[in-house]
This record gives sequence, C-alpha cells and structure tokens, in this order.
Amino acid sequence: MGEGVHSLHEFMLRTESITYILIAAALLGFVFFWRFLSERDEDRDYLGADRPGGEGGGHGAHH
Amino acid sequence: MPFPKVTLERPRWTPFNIVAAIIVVVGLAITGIRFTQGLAATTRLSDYNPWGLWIGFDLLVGVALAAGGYVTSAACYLFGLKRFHTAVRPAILTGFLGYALVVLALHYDVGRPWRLPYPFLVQQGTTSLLFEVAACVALYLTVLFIEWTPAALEWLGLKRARNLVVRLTLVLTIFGVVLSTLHQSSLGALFLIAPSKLHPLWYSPYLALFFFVSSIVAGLSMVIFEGALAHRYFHHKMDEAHRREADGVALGFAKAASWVLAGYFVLKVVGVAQADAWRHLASGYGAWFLVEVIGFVLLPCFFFAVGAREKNLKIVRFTAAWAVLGIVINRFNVGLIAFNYHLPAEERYFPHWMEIGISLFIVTIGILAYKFIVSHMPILYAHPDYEPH
Amino acid sequence: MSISRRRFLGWMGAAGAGFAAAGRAHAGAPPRGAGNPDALGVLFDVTRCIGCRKCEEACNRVNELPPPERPFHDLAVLEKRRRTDARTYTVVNRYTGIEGARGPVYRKVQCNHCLEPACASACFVRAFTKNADGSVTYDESVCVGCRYCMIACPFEIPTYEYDKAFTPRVMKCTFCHPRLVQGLLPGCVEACPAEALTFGRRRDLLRVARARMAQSPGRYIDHIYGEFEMGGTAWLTISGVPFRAIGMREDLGTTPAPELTKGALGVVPVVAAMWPVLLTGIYAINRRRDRIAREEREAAVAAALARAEDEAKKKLAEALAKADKDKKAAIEREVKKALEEAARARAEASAPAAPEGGGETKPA
Repeated sequence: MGEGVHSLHEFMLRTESITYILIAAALLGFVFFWRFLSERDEDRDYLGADRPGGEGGGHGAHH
Repeated sequence: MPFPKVTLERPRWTPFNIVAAIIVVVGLAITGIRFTQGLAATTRLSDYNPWGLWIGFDLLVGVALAAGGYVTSAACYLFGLKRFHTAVRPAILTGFLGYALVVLALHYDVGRPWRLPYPFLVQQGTTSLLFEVAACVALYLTVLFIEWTPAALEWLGLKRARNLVVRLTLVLTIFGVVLSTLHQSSLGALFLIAPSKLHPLWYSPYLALFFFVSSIVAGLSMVIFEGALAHRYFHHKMDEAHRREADGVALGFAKAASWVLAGYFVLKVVGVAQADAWRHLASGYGAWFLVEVIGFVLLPCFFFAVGAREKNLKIVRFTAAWAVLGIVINRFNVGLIAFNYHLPAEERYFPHWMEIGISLFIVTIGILAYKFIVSHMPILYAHPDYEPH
Repeated sequence: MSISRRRFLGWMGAAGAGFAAAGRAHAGAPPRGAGNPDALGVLFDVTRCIGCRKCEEACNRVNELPPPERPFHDLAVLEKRRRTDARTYTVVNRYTGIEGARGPVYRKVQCNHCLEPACASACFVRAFTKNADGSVTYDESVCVGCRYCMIACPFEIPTYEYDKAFTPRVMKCTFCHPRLVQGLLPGCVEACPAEALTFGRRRDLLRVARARMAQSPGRYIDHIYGEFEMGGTAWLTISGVPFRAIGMREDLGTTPAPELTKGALGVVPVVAAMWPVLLTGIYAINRRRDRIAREEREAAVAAALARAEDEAKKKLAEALAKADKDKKAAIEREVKKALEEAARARAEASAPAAPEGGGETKPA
C-alpha cells in the first residue's frame, strides 16, 4: 500500500509500538532518576538497600 | 560451598500421595496425546469455542489466584505494613509457582507452543491486548522468579548473590505491581473486542477495572486461604515470628478484602447501570449474575467484615475460600459461561475430560512443587544466618 | 448489471493507479475505518442466490482445499445449518419458512473482509494483513495458534485446524488474494451462475446496491449489510428478508474493532507512567515517617537518659554530702565520747592527764 495511513488499525499499530518503546524507556529511566534523586539522602535508603548499616549500603543498588 | 543435602524420604503411600501420583501419571499420558495428536484429540474446542478450560481456568483463574505475590509485597514493602512481613515469602512463592504453571498451561493450549516467544522476537502485534498480557506475564514471571531466589540462595548458602538480590527488593516490588496492574486488567480487556459474544451483564467498558480490582480480592483471599492450609500441614516448619504474625495477617487481609470487595460490588452495579442491562436481570443469565454478585461478592464482603470485627479466624478462613470460589466463578462466567451466550445449546462448549485432567495435573504439580520448596527452603521461617529483608 | 471480466481487469489497472495516488498524507485525527478508498469488494444479493453450491465448489477448487465428505452437487447438505470450518472457506445455508418470503432463502457465508478487521487488531504477532485490494490475509509462518482472532471476529469466520498436532493453521477465506494479484476474479464470484455475486470497487458496489433498491421498490430491505457494520466490510449484502432471519446479526453496531480496545490500550502507558511515581512516593513517605518516628524515639530516649543521669548525679552529691555530715557527726561523737571517757577516768582515778582523741574514728 502507499505510504499513507489508511486505517485505524495501522494508525494504532504505529502509535502503540512507539508507546511500548516509550514505556520501556520510562521504566528504566525512573530507576536511575530515583537513584539520582535520593543519592545524597543521609540514610541512603533507596532502591531496596533498605537496611542502614546492612551489607553494601546504598550505592550501586541497581544498574 | 556447603550445598544442602536434599533428603529424599522414601515416599509414603498417604492418601494424598496416592491421588497425586494417579493425577500425575494420567496427566503425563494426556500430555503425550496432546503433543502427538493435537488439540482435537484432547479437547472439545471448536470453531465457535476457540477458548476452553485451559484459558478459562488455567489462564484467567490461574493469574487471578496468583495475585497474592504483588498484593502482599506491596502491602509490606510499599505501604509499610511491616507486621505482614512473614507473609511475603509464602505469597511470592505461590505467585511464582502460579505464573510458572500458567505459562506451562499455555503450552498445552496454543497450537504451536514453541512459537510463544514470537510476539516479542519475531513480529509485535502491539494493537492486541494479548500482546500486552503476554509481555507483562513474561516479565512478571521473571520478576517473581528473582523475588523468590533469596529463599533458594539462602538454602544453597550463596550469601553474596542473595544479598545482591535482596537489594533489588524495592525495584522488583514496584515493577511487580505495575506489571500486575497491567496484565490483571488486560485479561479482562481481552474480551472488550467481542461485545457481540459476551453477555451484556458481563460485558462492560469496565471489564479491565473489574479484573484488576477482583485480582486484589483474589490475592488477599488466597494468602489467607493458603496461610490456613500451611498452618494445618506445615506448622512444624514455621518459626516463632511466622506463628506470631499469622493471625494478624489473616485479620488484616480480611479487613482489606472486605473493603476492596465493597468497592468491587459498587463497580459491578455501576457496570449494569452504564450498560443499562437491568432488563437482563430478569432472565436466567440475570439470576446467575445475581448469584455471582450477591452470593460471591456482597456476602463474602459482609462475612469478611464480621470475621475481622469479631477477630474470628474461623469465619475469616471460611470466607477466604468462599471469595476465592467467587473469583473462579467470575472468570468462568466471562471466559466460558456468559461467552457465546448467543449460540444454541448444541454449539456451546463443555470441557473434555482430558482438558480437566490437564488442569488437575497442573494444579497438582503446583502443590507438589510448593510442598518440596516449603519443606526445604526458608519460606515459612527466617534463615538463622540472614537478616530478614 | 453484473461486472464482466474485461471491465474488472480494466478496473484493476485503475485501482492500481489509485493505490499509488492514495498515499495521501495523513493529517491529525486518526482515520476511522476509512480504509483504502479504491479497495475492492463483493456485493452479495440474497434475492438472486439459488443455493446451487457452485461457489463452494469453486472455492474448494481454487484454494486446493481437501475434498468434501459429500459432493458439491448434493444439495441435501443444505438441510443442516453449516458454518465455515478448517476445510471450507465458504458455505451456503438455506432458510425456510421466513415470513414474507416466497420459498427458501439462501445465504452465502465467508469472510467479510472488514475495513478494520477485528482479527488483525487482536493478533499479537500481526499474522493478519488488510491488503490494499481489500482482502484480509493470514500468514501462518508467524501464527502461534492462540486463536484470539476467533474470539475477536464478530462474524465467527476464522477456523482452526485442531486435528493437526504440529502445523495447525487458522483457516479462512482470503478473498482469493493470490488470484486478485494475477488479475483473476475470486473463485466464488467467477462460478456464480445467478449473478448473485458482484465484484468491484467497494464504493461502486454501494452505488450498485442502492441502484438495485431504487429500481425494484419493495424487493429489498432498505439496508446494505456491511456498509457500516463493525466499521464496514468489503463484502456487502442486500436482502429481501430481514438479515436476522438469515443468520446475520443486526446488533453488531458500527464501532470498528480497534476502537473497542483503544481505551484499554490507552490506560497502559498511564499506569506505567504513574504507578512508579505513586508507589515510590508512598514508599518514600512511609520510609520518612518511620525515620522521623525513629529519630523522635531516639531523642526521647536520650532525654530520658539525660534526666536519669542528672538525678543520679544529684543523688550521689546528696549522698556524699550526707556522708560528709555523718563523718563530721561521728568525729564529734567520738571526740565527745573520748572526752567523756577521759572525764570519767579522771573522776574515777583522779589521774592528772586526759588521753589524745579522734585518731581512730571510723567514717559513718
């Protein structure tokens, strides 16, 4: 078919595919952004490193 | 590395073991027929009824009843209900086993199971709600597996790996709740595309919401129900903390389930109003709808409330089983009973005994796996060498 | 009235040109079941069908389907209501005793080739394609066999090869897409001896249908089935009896299938975006409340400890002071005692000197 989008189905195929990629990027981005956001908290209790004094502390909790 | 010794006791011929053995043997035989002679030899699926028991029960009910994992871990780790901590590991375990078995059952149901990764690897049909369900179930199974590994790693004595995984608890919990919200609701949304086939009392634009909200009820009720069973059969495996917290978990979850059921009941009624389906209530399907909504939503809601108020564990446990049955009925209604309501009786679906056999087989595998894991790994007790997380 | 093969071939050329021109830019709002304006279709005129099953035979032949249990000239199979199955892309059913109809009415069933196919929308591997010529075709090379397309199809057309263990396929009418590409007519259209099937551009067929209705008042129900049903279908049906009397659902509505799932799909990114925000927020709030509670508890404990320490100090000081006093009192007592003893001794013995005192007093 030509380049045009003729049907709602084709339109949604395009929008949904892009949306899924955005979702994946967003979920990953959230993890890193939250890390950035709470990195300097005194007890660094972010991203599951939730035992102050527990092994490993809070750094590098997730990559 | 000090690997644990698996003590395989000589199997004793208890009634449970005998029944389980028979189911497993028959299940393996049916499995052989299914994968050598196809769906026609083992199912009553037809061109009118492409989805049968393996979707209606194994997928729809299986996923709903495995919701305990996300509900409990969210309650404990996100909502700060620390008193529920000892309930997390058993709930994660049953959730993981539940999803693993759902995926196993799908191998029986789809025509070419070896192609199950195709929607991700070969060609993505992103307009399909089934794509969303498949993606979320696959990811969530992975999440549950990782969430479960600390128990196995403690058992195996792999301390560093265990601590690494434990650090991911928060991310995994949040990711698990997101994925669960999405696919629990999307299982209901699967039927949105067929308004002409699902009875108007069950078809609703709210189908996705119905499935999500009721999955919370299913998760809470299953934790209570499984907790009661575990107390009966694995009491000796539980540590002090588990026994001390168990009653609080049951009562707290009963209260939560009652409250969520109240919301769910209102939603169901609003669903009828929005579809203006009142007139259908006077039909046979209407009576059955009322049985579901009053008998298996409103009444469990009330009895959970009574049980929680009176701190009566007997009522709470009984109502949990009742509510679980209500979820089963709901999923059967949407997937099998109210679906294709327009067809004449002779075209309707009724499962082949081999379909029932496989469903029983899969449930039995789940129970056996649970038994093995609970007997060997720190699920109902905290491992003495590790801090709880 | 019917379209000859020559004209059809000419149209195919025009349609091809049309497809090329149809690449018009898509602006703004999503299309609503518009499809390709030059897509093809078939008009099925129920009032012309004689139930000869020639279309079934042709379909079977051109699609190389397995031979039927009973030959196609055996019209006794019409006694029973049939549907499409894995060996049959199209069937003709006979309906008798319909009010207002003289004699039996026949209706052909096959894929209607929706403008917005529910099967394509439902398929999670994109096995279905809505082609530019209007046909909806299936690609077995990606099919997983989930059969959601069969759930989704409002016309109950796709069927499945349940009896195949290793290579089961979804089976359905292809609109003879491979023949259309070669410039040939669909098998059933070519075979119809009664001109009940008219092939052409869908938009032209709508005009043809209306013209027939205008030409023969009273012959047709005033409705072109498929013009709007489920967003419209490539195959159109006109009938002299109510559609529901010949097994066609009149309650399907006009909403195209993708529209039905659009809302639910739209919720997905909302959940993915907002759930982590809300849940992490709740977590952080609880965490902070816990920490503040812990700090307050620690502060309270420290204060209590300090208070206790103060009191202890005071007590100690008091005790020391008391001890001091006691000590002094004891010395005085001893001194007094010694003086008294000395006095007594002096008195008793009338000795000249009193002894030294205080050296051996004990603390209290």
